[in-house]
Amino acid sequence: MSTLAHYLESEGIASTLVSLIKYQSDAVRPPRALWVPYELGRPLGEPHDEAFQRAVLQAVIGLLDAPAGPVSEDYEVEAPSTHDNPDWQAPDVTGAPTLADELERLAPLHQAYRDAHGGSHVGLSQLAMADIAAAVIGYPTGAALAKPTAMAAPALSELVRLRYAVDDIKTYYLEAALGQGGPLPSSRQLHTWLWHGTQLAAALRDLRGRGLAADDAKFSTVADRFLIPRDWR
Amino acid sequence: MARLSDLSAGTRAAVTGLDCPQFDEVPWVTPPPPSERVVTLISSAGIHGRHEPPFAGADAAGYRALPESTADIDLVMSHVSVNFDRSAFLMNPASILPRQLLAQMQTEGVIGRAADEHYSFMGATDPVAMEPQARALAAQLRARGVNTAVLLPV
Repeated sequence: MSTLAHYLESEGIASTLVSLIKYQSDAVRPPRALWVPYELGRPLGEPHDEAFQRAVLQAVIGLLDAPAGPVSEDYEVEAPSTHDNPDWQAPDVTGAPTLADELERLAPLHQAYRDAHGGSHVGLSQLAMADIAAAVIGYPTGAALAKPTAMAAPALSELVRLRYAVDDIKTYYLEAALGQGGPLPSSRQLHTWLWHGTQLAAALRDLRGRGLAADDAKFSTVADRFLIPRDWR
Repeated sequence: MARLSDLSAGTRAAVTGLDCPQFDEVPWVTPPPPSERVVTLISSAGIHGRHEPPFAGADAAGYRALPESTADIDLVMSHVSVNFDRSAFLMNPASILPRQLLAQMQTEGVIGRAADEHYSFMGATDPVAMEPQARALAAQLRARGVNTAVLLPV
């Protein structure tokens, strides 16, 4: 974002940015940067806390009032959701023998998420969840990824479609966990459940293993870097 | 926690190992006074409408427009990195694209006007490769009367 800000400012657009990695904004030196202490993926700190988000937004816009630059400030307000919520319960998928069974158990929770949010953010691959599960289990064999979709994009490689399919099923799981309603978990709690307690995690680790062992270098790269977060491998 | 000390060793190595562009000079625009600021939001989350082309291949260095007519629930994320938390986006898309908050600030007179269109790039792209598209976006913003940009990373 710092480099984007540089280009925009040089074209006459006053820019101000939130910085999540101070090391990077210090190196690039954009015109105005507000470093915040939040985890990657959370530029405004707290989901579902408008007052908290508003305060951050107000602070970063406030940098525009500085008479000269570059401006670099630190916003040292910690996000409460950094800490685990003791009242949150993970979805119970204990004993689900297969990925298909686990998806079936999560279906009501995912429907609850859809009801609460008016839909879902699943859909990048435009594949049905059953086809996604088949691809995760079977790739590189099987034809699940070859099914035609209405995807409004230039032809994508099978590996990009695999990546999107995996993104979709991970989104489905997280939405199902959030579909429980009630107390919100920390991101650590959500990912601990996903990566340590599900058939999906086992299936994705198997897929990654097949990729790392494959002769296809592109498959190996995708499997190594683009399926499972680094901190959860 | 985006303090380097709070990141895992692997993630810390990844973010500090990136080749950050360095410029001899810092460009500077005197911003308009608050009442005249027309503000757009620019995200690096790789988000777009669900029927829009994903950020892939030749399209990875570009940007997507996010008009007010695209509801939060119709946004999908095609960012290539799996190493940031996506759950906040799933809980509350406004936590990465605060369109409603910006509209509130317009109503309260904190800013002049919230732009009717916001934008997303895909932040894993080499930033130098984004330059042509960034300058093209700037031209588009000027044409739409937008004079201020708030950039939000993931």
